[in-house]
Amino acid sequence: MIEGLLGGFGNLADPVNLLLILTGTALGIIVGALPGLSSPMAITVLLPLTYPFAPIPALVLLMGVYVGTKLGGSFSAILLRTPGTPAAACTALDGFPMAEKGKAAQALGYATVGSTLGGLLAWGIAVTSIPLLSTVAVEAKNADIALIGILGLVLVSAFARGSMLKGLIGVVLGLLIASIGLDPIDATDRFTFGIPQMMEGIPFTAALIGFFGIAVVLSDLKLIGAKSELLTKNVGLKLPSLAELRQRWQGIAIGGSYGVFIGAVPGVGAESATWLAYATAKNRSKEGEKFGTGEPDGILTPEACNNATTGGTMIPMLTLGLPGDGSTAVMLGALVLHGVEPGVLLMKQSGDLVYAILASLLIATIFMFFLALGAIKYFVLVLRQDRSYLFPFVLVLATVGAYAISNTLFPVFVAVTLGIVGYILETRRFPLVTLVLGIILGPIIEYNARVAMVISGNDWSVFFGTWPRIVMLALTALLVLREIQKGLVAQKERREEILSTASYD
Amino acid sequence: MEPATEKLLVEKSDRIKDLVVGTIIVGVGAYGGMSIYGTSATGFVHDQTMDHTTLPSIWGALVVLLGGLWIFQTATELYHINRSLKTLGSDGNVWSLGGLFPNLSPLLLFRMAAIVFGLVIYALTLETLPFYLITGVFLLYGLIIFGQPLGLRTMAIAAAGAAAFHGLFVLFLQLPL
Repeated sequence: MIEGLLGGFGNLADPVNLLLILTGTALGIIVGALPGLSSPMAITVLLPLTYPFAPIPALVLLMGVYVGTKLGGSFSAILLRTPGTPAAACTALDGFPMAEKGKAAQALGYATVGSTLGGLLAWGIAVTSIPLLSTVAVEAKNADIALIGILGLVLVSAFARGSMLKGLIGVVLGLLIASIGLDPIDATDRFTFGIPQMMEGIPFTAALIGFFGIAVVLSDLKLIGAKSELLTKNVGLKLPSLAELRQRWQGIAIGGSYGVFIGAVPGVGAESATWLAYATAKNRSKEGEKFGTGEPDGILTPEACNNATTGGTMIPMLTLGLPGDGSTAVMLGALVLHGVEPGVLLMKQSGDLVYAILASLLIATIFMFFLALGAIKYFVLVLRQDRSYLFPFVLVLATVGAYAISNTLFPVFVAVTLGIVGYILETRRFPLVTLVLGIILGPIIEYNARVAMVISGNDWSVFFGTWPRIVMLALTALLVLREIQKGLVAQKERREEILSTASYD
Repeated sequence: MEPATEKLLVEKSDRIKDLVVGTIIVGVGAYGGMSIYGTSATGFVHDQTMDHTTLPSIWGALVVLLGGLWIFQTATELYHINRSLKTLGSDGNVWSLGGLFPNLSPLLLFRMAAIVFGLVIYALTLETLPFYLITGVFLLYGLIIFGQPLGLRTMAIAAAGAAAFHGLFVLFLQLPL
């Protein structure tokens, strides 16, 4: 493991790779700071720029963006009370009141230190657990891989934003879209409507650009004209002392550990983890009543948690090929795009890439700290800018990115169509990440399920022939049953809410 | 209008849109599941229990089942909303553009339609006109659509943006644009 990790750092010693991580992290901080723009969107529109790159430089650039957005979200949460990313919403609870008291520099300092320490803690856990888990995962057979994929999709549906029903609809729609093109085993045409370009299936990157690029721009058009005024014009950053950090280690530890472990559950991501960590830190604190009024632990805990999810999400992504959140879903797509098959064999087949990704996670976290320390006043400048300048540029990146997939117009029209579809689904509160995951995992599930059937001589019992497979099937069934029960309760509550609206009037 | 009535009317328009989207989803699932079912394989392997139709048929059936559940849930909510609106003495009429899309202003709708139209035209001209030129025109068009005045500053931003994209994609990344 140590040898592999040293090799990973060795790969990144190239100044070009370091520059890519630095650029990615800086871009990530800027994107994260802008409310409405998200990490998956930034990674998606940057993806085309990585086409000519080898897998390692491409992935480390995207890792920089991923890490940077986590911190950037806290800047707008503290200075505008509008979180740049959903995961930074919790930071606004104490960050904004602290800034209102004239301590914006301190609040930004707590956010930066919390994010950095959370990221470092998560890196340590990720780097020790991923090689260990990979040695277990590599034993998986075709049937196991298919079942892991199905369980992952159900997990993502259960924990993604909104109802599980919509999550599941998104997943199966994604799986249906993934069926388009030539069948992977016997090359039969499926849903191609006689269009030759459809034989290769829906271009995956075009789908990403549509769902995470064009759809997000269409959703965010309502933000145009909304110029924001910062609480203070002289933005600086004041770091807490080491003695203070020693006093507040519990908040950082709670945030960091929640971030890693909840972040490692596919589909959960940072949004729910930060709120849980915040609530735990508040309940454990002797000064819990101060939370919400500008308490430093109220910033350190969610920020440590938010950045710790970057390590957590790497665990299922690099060992099982399952994404922890929307950004890692796009990164899985980036792996596919660069000819690397994500999944249980990733460590065995592309160990150098896995270690380079892990090394870049640490380097990006360190860069993030120094970038925030040295250039915060420039980063917050973007908070004052109107989105009308940004969106046309994002759309050019999206269009050229889609065109460059095959130097034809077909992927561009796929991206525009899926962008409109994504926008409509987003307005109906469908978690788009579930659709994207269905598209990514669909071919993997189908190929492995069918190979398992062929190898077993068309025996369906291959899917419940071992204890791990029975456990996975049981977990899948339990999750679905639990969500059905939750859905029924929620529907009853909705009905009562509607009826009470009339009776209160 | 009373706030409770207004809230219920917004809820009603939301549920109607859910029903429309749900019906389209069920239609897509039904088409997907049924059109693939029974088609024969063109490849070499013919004795598979799980063939090229199995999983797409299952996915299609699941889309229909889950979409149907969502429609049922939505229709039930709509029924209760209508009952509540009746209690409040409202006719519950939402059948107008403003009623169905209360948060979608005409300007926002125009911007969406105009930018999608612009994007399609930009894509169609990518292969025929010089990249620098059409990117500059598209950026200028986008900036104006999104509310920037047609002035020297806007034109300079569009030209600088086009130059930067040309440098990045054509000169640095050497994409054949």
